Amino acid sequence: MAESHLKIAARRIRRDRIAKAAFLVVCLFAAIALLDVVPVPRHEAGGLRLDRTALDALFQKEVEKSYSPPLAGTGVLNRHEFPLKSRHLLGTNNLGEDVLYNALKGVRTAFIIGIVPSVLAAFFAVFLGLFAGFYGGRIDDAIQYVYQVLSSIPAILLLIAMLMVMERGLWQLCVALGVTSWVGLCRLIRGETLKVKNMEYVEAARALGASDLRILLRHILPNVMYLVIIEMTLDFSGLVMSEAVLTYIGLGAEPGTGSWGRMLMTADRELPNAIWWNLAGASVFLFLLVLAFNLFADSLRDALDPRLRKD
Amino acid sequence: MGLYILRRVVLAVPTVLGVCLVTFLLFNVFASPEAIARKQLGKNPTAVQVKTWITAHGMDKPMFVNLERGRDGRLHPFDSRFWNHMRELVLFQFPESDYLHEKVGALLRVKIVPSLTLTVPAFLLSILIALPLALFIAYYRGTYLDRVALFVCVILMSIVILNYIILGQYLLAVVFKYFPIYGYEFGLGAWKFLLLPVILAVAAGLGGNLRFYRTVMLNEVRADYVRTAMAKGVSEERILFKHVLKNAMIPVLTVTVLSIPFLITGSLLLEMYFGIPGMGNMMLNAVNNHDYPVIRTLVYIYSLLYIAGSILTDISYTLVDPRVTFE
Amino acid sequence: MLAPITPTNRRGVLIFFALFALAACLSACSNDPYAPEGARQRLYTALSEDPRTLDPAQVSDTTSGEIANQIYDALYQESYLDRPFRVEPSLAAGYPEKRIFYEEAMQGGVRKKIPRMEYTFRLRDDAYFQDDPCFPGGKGRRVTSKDVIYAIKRLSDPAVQATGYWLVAGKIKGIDDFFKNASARGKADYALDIEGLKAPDDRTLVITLTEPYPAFLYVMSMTYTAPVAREAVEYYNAGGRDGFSRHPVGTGAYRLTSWKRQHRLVLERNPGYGKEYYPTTGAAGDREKGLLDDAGKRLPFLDEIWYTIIPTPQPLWLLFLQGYLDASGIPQEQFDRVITRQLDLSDAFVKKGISLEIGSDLDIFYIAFNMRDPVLGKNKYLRQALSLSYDSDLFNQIYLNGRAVNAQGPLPPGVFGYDPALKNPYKTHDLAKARELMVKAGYPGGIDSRTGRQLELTYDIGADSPRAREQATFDMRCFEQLGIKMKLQVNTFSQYLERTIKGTFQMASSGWLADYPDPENFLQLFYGPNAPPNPNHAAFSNPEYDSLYERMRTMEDTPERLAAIKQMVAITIEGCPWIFNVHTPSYVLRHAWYKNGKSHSITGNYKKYLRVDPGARKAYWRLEDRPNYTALYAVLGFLLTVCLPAVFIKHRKRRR
Repeated sequence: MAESHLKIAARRIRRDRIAKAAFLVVCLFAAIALLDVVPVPRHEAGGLRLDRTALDALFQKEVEKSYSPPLAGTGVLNRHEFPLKSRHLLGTNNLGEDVLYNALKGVRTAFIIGIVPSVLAAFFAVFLGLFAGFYGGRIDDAIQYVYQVLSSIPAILLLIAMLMVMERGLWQLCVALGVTSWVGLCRLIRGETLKVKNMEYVEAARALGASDLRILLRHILPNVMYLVIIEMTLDFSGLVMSEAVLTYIGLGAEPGTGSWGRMLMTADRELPNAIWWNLAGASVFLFLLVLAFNLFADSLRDALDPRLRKD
Repeated sequence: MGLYILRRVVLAVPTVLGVCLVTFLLFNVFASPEAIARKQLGKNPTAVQVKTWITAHGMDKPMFVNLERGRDGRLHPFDSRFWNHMRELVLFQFPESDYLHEKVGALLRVKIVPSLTLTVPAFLLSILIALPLALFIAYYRGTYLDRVALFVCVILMSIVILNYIILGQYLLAVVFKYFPIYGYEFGLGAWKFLLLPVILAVAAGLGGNLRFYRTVMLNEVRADYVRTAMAKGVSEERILFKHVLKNAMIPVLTVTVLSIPFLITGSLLLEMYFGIPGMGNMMLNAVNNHDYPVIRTLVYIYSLLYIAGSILTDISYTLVDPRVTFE
Repeated sequence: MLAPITPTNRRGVLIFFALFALAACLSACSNDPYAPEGARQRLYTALSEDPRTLDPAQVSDTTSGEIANQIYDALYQESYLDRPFRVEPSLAAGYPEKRIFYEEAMQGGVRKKIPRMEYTFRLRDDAYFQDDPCFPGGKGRRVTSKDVIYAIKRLSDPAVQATGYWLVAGKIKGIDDFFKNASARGKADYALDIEGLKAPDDRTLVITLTEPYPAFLYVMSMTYTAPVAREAVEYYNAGGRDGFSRHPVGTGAYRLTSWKRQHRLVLERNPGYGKEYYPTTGAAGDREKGLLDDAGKRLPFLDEIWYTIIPTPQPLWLLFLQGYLDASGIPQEQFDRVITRQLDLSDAFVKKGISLEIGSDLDIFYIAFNMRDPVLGKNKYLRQALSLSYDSDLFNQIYLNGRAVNAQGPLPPGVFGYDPALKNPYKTHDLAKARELMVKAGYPGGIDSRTGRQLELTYDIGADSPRAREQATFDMRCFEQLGIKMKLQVNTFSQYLERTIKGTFQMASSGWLADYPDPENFLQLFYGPNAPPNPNHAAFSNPEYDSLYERMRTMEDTPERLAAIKQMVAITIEGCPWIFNVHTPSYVLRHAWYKNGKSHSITGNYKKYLRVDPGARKAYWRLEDRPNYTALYAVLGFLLTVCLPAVFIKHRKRRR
């Protein structure tokens, strides 16, 4: 029996040094995101209960008065130097918040935005793509019309329109991003379904009396999954970058959620004052995550592509 | 040829109507007029205030068919939200902006020119720069240069456009003073203000474009006719620049349609950052001001442009690829 | 070894020449964002957004006011140089005759003799409206007293959606009846006469006030009462035209000639402007500053004023530094670089010829509680607790560089009735006391003692900029120390105005800039009848306050008035409809070529006094804005050296 897709893919990736390095970086970021999910509540005197995560427990620092450069001992506000309460690896921003902490808080948001819309989109795309390819005829025409119309509306505008109608927030953003990005994958799945449905083993299954649903789920779906995985990993970095852009223009996550886009909002004011650490923190984190994922996704795609049969 | 264009346009009509339907659903069905009114009016508006707002915006009319008699005693079955919305968009009778109190049509006529002066040069320049570079890299395929170039492309692609814009403006306009930092001039003087945004637009898209064109070129280069030509002694440059380039145009053209949305996103940010008074700027202002009439109209207009772009692409296929006929 | 130019490396030569041409082109580049001005005197300035309206009856915000004030002259204007501010004639010819007479009328069920005041104004002979197609032949006609009456009637017309009715409500005899009639009909009937507004002839206007009101001249200096041509309103409001709010037809020194939305607005000199001259006297120190150099000269000096619309503050500052904007404020994060410890201008700026003027804005920034809100309106302890939790001093330090005054009450320094020794017991930033009050208010620790749920309050702000959001975050953090949950509601300025006018908010961050330097302009913000849509946004209503107000506004500046004001301020402190935040100073930077500039805390028609020196400006541009070519050549050199190995590799490949 031929080896399964996944085993072949895993072997190829293990040989690729860049892919391994990229994968490690992604895992590191994922660990940070997980730290930000684990709750570690703290009870304060007076009955106030603060919601904190493990990340907060490790990295949250006391808020200073204002800006301070990385690793400085004092900051400056209105020509008066004020002593800092602790050392900040990446300095502090205008409100005195630790820049490194803010950047780390953005990781969880990035992962949520990178994964949840993809999952949503995949759900739609698989469902509709399989049906369109398998049944053909009017169902196919109807589904094709739907995504023809949706793909004629530039995604950013549909996104903006949806976000205007819903409240602004992280989960609304996920829904909107999911709804605007399923079309491409749907087309691919439909195409692949068309190819696969006439294969011999499918005909054989049908001859044996298998129901449509069984054929779809057991024979066709596994063969199109690689498309889904490739698409999801390819979309991740695009989604993370679009979250930064959308938050920058005011449509993304609400204030209070960590976001690299929000850190970038004040960058243009700060640069002429030689305050570079806010921009640097957000940009470097964003760049590393996106680059790592891009490199990994490329390797994964090459590894999973059944056309590249040579090993 | 004319018949082909006509047929493509006619085939696009149901899609256009579909777009109108989607905007209708989005702004009338998925969001109740009550909710939109309350968002505009703030916390605890009185019932009277909400009602006044809804009536002023025509949102108290029935959804699809109006079976009530109007003030003049006659039936106006098509005076419903659905038909008013369709009529507004399809007949280009655009509504008035809530914020600027001007007809969107009039605003568009002024603002479309600056947007085009930004996106069209950016688009053309992207292709003019990336294509020859891709050919150049295809020439050196397999070598160290090729791998380095590919890595550089991925790096360029991983830098979010915000960084290009923020750092680009800071370094090139503020520190080195090559370009105006902000502003626009209508008419011939616009070129000064467009240089920097166009350069940044091209730079931001370079990584992705270059990588894609390289893949396309390499696919062509592996084809049989190239090997034959090289065996016959035709110089490699000639093969690349004449034959491979022409055959690569088909997938390139596909991508041009796919890249139109990027032109729109890019132009939103660039127009906002550099103060170019175009459609993108209007769109972002409408978002900030909750100006729904402008947003619905712009979604429709951009979709029309997109559909027109894909029709143009189809037509250009017929010119470039002799295998594709008018069938 | 030199290779000959063959067909193959012809391409390389072409590329080299292309790069060279590019470098040459870039040398011709400049970062000048304006079209050449030729011989015209032009002022370059900026607005943060398009004006909402240019209809004088609707103008209530500073952006619209800035433009409308240059286009519309009223009967009187604020003095430009003299301090303290005086009211001087503009379209009026001299000062009015005043006379007090007694009239028998019913008041509170008793027949009394009520004092009325009558003003007789005379208009100038050479006051004309600007040329406009709405007039026959396109030529502007003379201004008549009927035009002033028409303007005041428009303020009471609900169909006009005016925001200035509060200015004249109850003050002019008969206007309340006119307003009632207009409200009932939905629009005003301009054929109806108002008893207190008479025009015996084209040049004379007689206004009868319901009570002696010494500050009335201020009312006649506001753009709300500027004469309006009925022909203009009817012409531009007719179908198919843009509307009068976008086509102002005024009497001022400038007229609107171009307005590209979200881009630029241009005012040009009004050729038909009457004879106005630069003042010959000024305040102490004006002569030394050169502000009287143009004394006696004919106004206006500027041919054009360019207002570029720049929504974000950063490009504004950069353009000012580059000399492309003639004046600017100081952004908060630049303050340390611009101002020294002694509050002088730093050397770098002095060398560039920039001048600094520090003035005191007559303003108050505050956080308003909506007294009609079910949660906040009836709970004095809650409001007081919130006031105690707020830290104005820290706000001042962070956002205003410590230069503002921590406001204890509504009146700013510079206004009659301001008490520098006033201490507001709810502004001591005493968290312990605040938490005690929360218990008294029924919300111990921020939890509603009846329902057990955490108290949630909504906070409205009027700008969607990162700075505004930051400040809102700061404000909300102060309140959250009490255990309350705060929700932020971000609005554009227009939406915000609408919400405050309609009263649909819980807490709102707000500010008031004086229209005229009389305490009444601030104290009217708490007057019950001035509830929304009038400026009393909090809808504060206290009968004792109201009667004190009605007494105080008719008094001259006497000790009795001072006592009444003191009492009124005490009521606003205890009743706590606002958290008083700060009074801001104004810091204005001007370039060397900007002449005759003097700060005014009150918006007015001051642009006509300004002059620029285009030569000095161009010299500055040449000096400051020279592109830095060394970097460019370095980069080009680097690119060339990178390409050389490629050529090398190519030659090696060919030899294969």
